[in-house]
This record gives sequence, C-alpha cells and structure tokens, in this order.
Amino acid sequence: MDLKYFTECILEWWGQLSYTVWMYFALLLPLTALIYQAAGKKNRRYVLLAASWFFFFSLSGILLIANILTSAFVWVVGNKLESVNADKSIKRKARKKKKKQILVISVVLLLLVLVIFKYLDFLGLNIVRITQIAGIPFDWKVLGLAVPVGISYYTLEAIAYLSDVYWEKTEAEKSFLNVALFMSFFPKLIEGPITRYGGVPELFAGDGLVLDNVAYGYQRILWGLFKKLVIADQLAPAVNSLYDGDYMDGGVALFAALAFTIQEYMDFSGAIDIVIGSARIFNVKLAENFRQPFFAKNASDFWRRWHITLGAFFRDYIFYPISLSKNTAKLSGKVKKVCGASVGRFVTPAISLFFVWLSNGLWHGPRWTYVFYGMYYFVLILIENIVEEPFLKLLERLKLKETSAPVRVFRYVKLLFIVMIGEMIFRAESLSKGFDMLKCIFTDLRFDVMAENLENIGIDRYGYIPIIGGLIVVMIVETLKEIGVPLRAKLQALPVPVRFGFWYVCIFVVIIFGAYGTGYDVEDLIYAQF
Amino acid sequence: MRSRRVVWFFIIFILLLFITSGLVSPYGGEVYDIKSTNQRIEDIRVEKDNTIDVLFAGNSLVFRDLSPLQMWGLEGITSYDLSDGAMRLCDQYTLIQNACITQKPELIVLETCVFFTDASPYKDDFALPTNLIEKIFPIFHYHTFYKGLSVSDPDIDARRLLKGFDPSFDTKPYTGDPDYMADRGEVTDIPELNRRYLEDIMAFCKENDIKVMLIALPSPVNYDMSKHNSIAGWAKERDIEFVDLNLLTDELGIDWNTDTKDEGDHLNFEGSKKVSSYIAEHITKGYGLSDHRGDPEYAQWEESYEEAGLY
Repeated sequence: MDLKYFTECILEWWGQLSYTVWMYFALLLPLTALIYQAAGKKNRRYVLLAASWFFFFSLSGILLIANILTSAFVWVVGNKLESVNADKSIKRKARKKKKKQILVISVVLLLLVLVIFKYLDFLGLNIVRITQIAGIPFDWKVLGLAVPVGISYYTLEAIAYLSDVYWEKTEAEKSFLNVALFMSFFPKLIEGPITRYGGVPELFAGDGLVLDNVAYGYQRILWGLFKKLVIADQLAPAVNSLYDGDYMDGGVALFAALAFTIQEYMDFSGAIDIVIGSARIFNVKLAENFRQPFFAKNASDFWRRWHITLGAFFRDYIFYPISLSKNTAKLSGKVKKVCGASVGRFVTPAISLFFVWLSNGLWHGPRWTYVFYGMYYFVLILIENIVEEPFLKLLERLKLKETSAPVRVFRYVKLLFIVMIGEMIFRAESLSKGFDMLKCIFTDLRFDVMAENLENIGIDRYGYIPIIGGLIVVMIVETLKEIGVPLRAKLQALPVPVRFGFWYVCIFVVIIFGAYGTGYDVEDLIYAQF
Repeated sequence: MRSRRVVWFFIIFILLLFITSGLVSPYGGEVYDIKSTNQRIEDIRVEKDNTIDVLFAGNSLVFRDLSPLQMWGLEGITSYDLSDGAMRLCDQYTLIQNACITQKPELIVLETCVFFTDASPYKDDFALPTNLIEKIFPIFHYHTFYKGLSVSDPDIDARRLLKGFDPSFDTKPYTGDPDYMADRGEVTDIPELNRRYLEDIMAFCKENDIKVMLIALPSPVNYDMSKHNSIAGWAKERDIEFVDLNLLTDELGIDWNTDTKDEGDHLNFEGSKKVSSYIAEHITKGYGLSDHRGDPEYAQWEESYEEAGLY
C-alpha cells in the first residue's frame, strides 16, 4: 500500500467525524480519556482543549481560527467588563454606561460574525428580490461561505457569558485556556446544549476519570445511538423521499410530517444523549436539553421541554431584558390606557415573545420556513395565553378536572397536531411547498396512496421493525421518566449477570438494527446544520 | 473488583462479537450486499437438489433479459437467474459457491457487465480502518442479515416461480447511437480486483467440473466495443466462449423502439423473448444440454411453466 493512498484514506476518514460514527465513541473518546487520565490534574485541561481543537479542525479545517479568535475576543471583553466594574474611580452611572457600551458593541460584533458566515447570502438574495420589485438594479453573487462548526451554539454561549459578566452574575475568567476550552469543548460543539459558563466548573477542575461517570457516559451514549441509528436514521430515507417526491396528498403530507417529527426528535435528543454521555466521561455535567416534550400540556410547555437550553437562553437574554425594559413598560402603559387592562396586560409578553420567536426562527438558519416556524409558535403561544383562562373556566363548567383523562388526551392530541404542522413547514424546501402540504390535508385527505406505498418510500418491510420497536421502547422509557420512575437506579440494583445481559442486548440491538454501513447513507445530525 | 468486572464485560463482549459474526457470515467469502445475497441463496435453495443445469450469473441485465421458463418451453433445459440489481462480483462468487451446495450445474454463464463495475465487498474502499473492523468482526458488515431471511413476499414468490427472472412490461425506446458497437480500437481494462474475483470463479468452476461461458446482453447503455475488446481478450486467454449479443442485435431482431424498458439499459419482456430464445438454442447445442421435458423428476418445471402463463 503506497503512502499517498494511505494518507488519503486517513484524511477522508477523519473528515467524517461525527458523534454517531464509531471512530468518535470507540476511538476518539477512549483515546482522549486515556491521555486525559495520564496527563495529571494540571494538564488535563490542555488535553481536552487539544482534543476539542483537533475535533474542530477535522470538521472545519482552518476555520478553527474563527473559534479561537472568538474565544480570545470573549476572554478580553469579559475581563474588560470586569475591570470597568472594579474601577471605582468612575462614577456608578458612568461605569454602567461604559459597561453597557462594551457589552452592546461586543454582542453586535459577535452577531456580525455569525451573520457574515451564516446569513450573508440570505440577506443579499432577499435584498435582490426587494430591489427587483422596486425596480432598482442590484445584484448579489452568492458567496457560499463555509461555516465554522457549531458557530450558532458557541456564539450564543459567548453572548450569555458576556451578559452574565455584565450583570455580575459570574466572574470574568482570567485564563484564556479555560475560555477557549469552554467555547470549543468537543462533546457540545456540534449540537449544544447551549451551556452557561458558570454551569460547568468540572470542565476546568482536571479531576481524574471516575468509573461511575465513565459507565454512565457510555450508557447514555448507547441510548443516544439507539435513538439516532435505530429510529431516526432508519426513517430518514422515507422522510427524504416523501419531501423530495413529486406526489402529495393529505395522507402523504401527514405521514411525512409525522415521520419527520419522530426523526427530528430521535435525531436531536439522541445526539444530545451522546453529547451528555461524552461530557460525563470527563466528569462534566452538561444541562439536559429534553424532558419528555410530548407529555407537554401546551405549546409553551412543549418549548420548556424541547431544546430546553435554547429556550432558556431566549428567556434570560431576550424575553426578560425586553419585558423589563423601560420602553416596553411605556408602550404597555399606553395600550392599557387606550384599550383597557384586559388587553394591555398582553402587550409586554407579546412584544417580548415576538422577539424571542423571531430569534428562534432565525437562529435555525437563513430560510423563510424557519422564520415562519418561529412566528407560528409566537402566534400559537400568544393565543394559548389568551384562551387559557376561558378554557379553564369552561372545564369548570363542564365539571372536568384539568388532570382528567379526556382533558389530557385532548391536550396531547392537540399538541401533537401543532408540533406536526410546525415541523411540516420547518422541513419543507420552501414556504410555498410547506403551505401546499398543509392545504392538501384539508382539500385532498386520503390514505390509500400512502398505505399502498409504505414499502416504496426508501424503507423496506424490515426497516419498519426497528422503527416501530424502537418507538415503543422510547415511549415506555419516556412514560416511566415522566411518572418519576428511577430507571437507572433500578437497573443498577439488578444482579451483575442480569445487568451484563441487559447491556449486551442493548448493544447488539444497536449493532444489528442500526442504520449504518452497506445500504445506508450516513445521515448528518439535523441540528448540526443550524 | 470493579475493574475486574469491566475487563470481564469486555472479554465477553468480544466473544459475543466473534460468535455473532460467525453466525451471520455467508459461506464462501465476503459479500457487499448480505440482504440480496441471502435472498438469492434462499431462492435457489427452494429448487429441488441437482435439477439446475445452467446458472446465469450477473446483475439486473440477467434477470430482465434471460427467462429460464421460456428456455424450458423451447429446449427443455433447466436454468436459473442468479442475479440481482447492481450485483458485485464478490457477491456473485459467493452466490455461485452457495448455489453449488445443492445444485450441480453443467454450465455457468457469466454476464460480463459486472466485469467493469465495483467488485469490492466494502461500501467505501477508502475507509480502511472501518473495513478492517468489519473484517475482524463481520457482524458490523453483515448486520442487515435479517433483511434477507425468508418471508412470504409476493414479489419474491413471483420471482421464484419464474426461476429468478423478473420481466418488465414497460417500454421506453432507445434513441441514441444505433452504431454503439463501432470499433475505435479502444480497450476498457477490467479492474484488478474484478480480475481476482473472476480468477476465483474460474478456479471454483474448474474444481467442480463446471463449464464457463461469457455473455454480453444487448445494452447500449452498458456496452461499447472497448469493453467487448477487453472481455474478448480475457476470454481468449482462458479459452472460453464469449458471445456478445450487442453485435448480434440485427440477427436477434432487437427493435430499440419496442424492446427496451428504459432507453437501452435493459430489455423488456418482448426483448427478453428474443434473447432467451437465441441463448436457449445456443447453449443447448453448444454444451450438449439434455431435454428434461416429460421426465417426472422435472414435473415441477412443467407446473411452473403453466402457472406463469407467460408463453
């Protein structure tokens, strides 16, 4: 074998690193853990940083510089904010003003970098559209810039960190190494969860490996692989073929939306399980990003259970600042005067929610479908806020308890429908395609075509075995978690041979029913694109 | 104590990987598509032992163009299409070995389109470390083995009835160059890996006293003279017959307006009738195959012929 061929093989191989490929969890992770353990307390942070930069470099190459420069910027600004804070020679008001200026400028700069990498073409092309309508000659050459991996996540983390230093909720980090590690820590790099600087002290502690944490980490990784490879990736060809196909009727649209909703949940929550498990190997406890979202009672509750860290970011850094701002209070007061208190009390949340959901939509990427997705939830949650009280009164009149079975079933079905419609538009190639799908449900609802073609959409009859079986397992586990059964503790209490048997069965289910190797395409992580 | 438990966990895990790998690996060698290979092995096992005289091996050209039941009706010979879509030579080699466990064919006809397509058992030849893991623990390579297990499936039943033949009744004319076999003196080389698999097949056939014949089925999409030249040279070196039907389309009466299902890639049912008729006569005469019609041992062939009702 010649050296050139061998080098090409290795390069191509490393270029495919992702959380769900074996070289990540069976090679990179254990290798890093071994070196980490051997390095000693003082040097362990260096090992994690080297592994993170290596991981970043393998995915984004030279764009690693963007991450390092952002880390350096955040480190400098954080310390600057703190030095202004500590500078008692400046009057309090002037100090606050200066701090605010630094924060605003730095947040704008961080967002500017994000916009340049992610949204520039989107903006340019939309300006072309507008200028065309206005008859002004303007052209935009699509740049197609490569985007640094995880930029949407680490930019939000940077903003949160600087805001927390500004609000004096957290101290500025003196060590550049720690900031760089926080901004690039490889387990959370691709898909989050969006982590607060103060939330991961273990990351910098350099404590040695703990067998319980390593075991927990790998068990969580296995659960993530199960969701991703056995369910999400087995479903992926069907979702792609239904969304890319020429034919559409109401049944097909509903099936496509349901399939994508399942795929997305299994893909994202599975990846997050792998992320949390990977971090735990190094003793780092990352925040949970999901909490049985389909048990939510309404859309706003859903978003407190789905992509929790993104919702929490928007709550803390957009919703509260806008809600508490003087301008919003002024506007709310004016509306109250004109329209009365019953309308006025919705003004502040409506304004804040609007910016939260606009940001949520835009955060997912430069597409109108995502903007619509954000606005869709804005409207729904606003309606929910308005009708919740009358709805509870109606229940009272009907002598139905909120926790009674019919009410809960009604809420679950309503939520599933709301989520599916949202996902239908979210996944569609364009807004018009998404609306066409939605229209089909009301104008051309039939199920015969879908039923006849279940095996012609990229899944053979055997492909449904892991999907349906896997979903049943996930539903049982989620139900038990929702009612508070400590599953892992119960498992740990079993005799060793039974436990061994259980884990072997789990591992072989993933090995046999996972969608990888011959006959499958490698499915990228959905949320890695955002 | 706990570390020892971890070590035991991994030792047992490795053992389980070896055991399951042994259970799912096909007999004969590495294959690319375990699902299709297992299905085709199951198909031929349904046939009564030692009743198939001819095996047609190749990719989709074989199961679209060559009809064993038609050949039975015309010459009374028993044959089987041991083929699948985009079949690779590695799979073909394993299939032939498996088919010969229960059958003793006199002749194997190799369709030559596969001589030029990917022959590797691996999805990505550049993924060396992944391929190495799959070599050591084939369970990772053959984990979809369950998809090839026998089930009641109308498509599979229909294909078994037709002895591997899967005709198409669609028509999409070929409108390209009618002189696609013009000789420009070019030669398309047979890749090294394909040559190795072909040598393995030849050695297996020699060992089992099976004659080999090469055939190129009419397909302007898949053939040209540079491939013909290459195959002809390879066949000549080994002293085996090579029949290129792309040079005989006039003699066969192939009409590219009516006889192809997909613009010259495969033949449709009408085209298959012309090719099957020619091949049946050619191999019966050329290789001295017996007419089994009327032999009670082969009554099932007569039943299938009647049940199919195609001819």
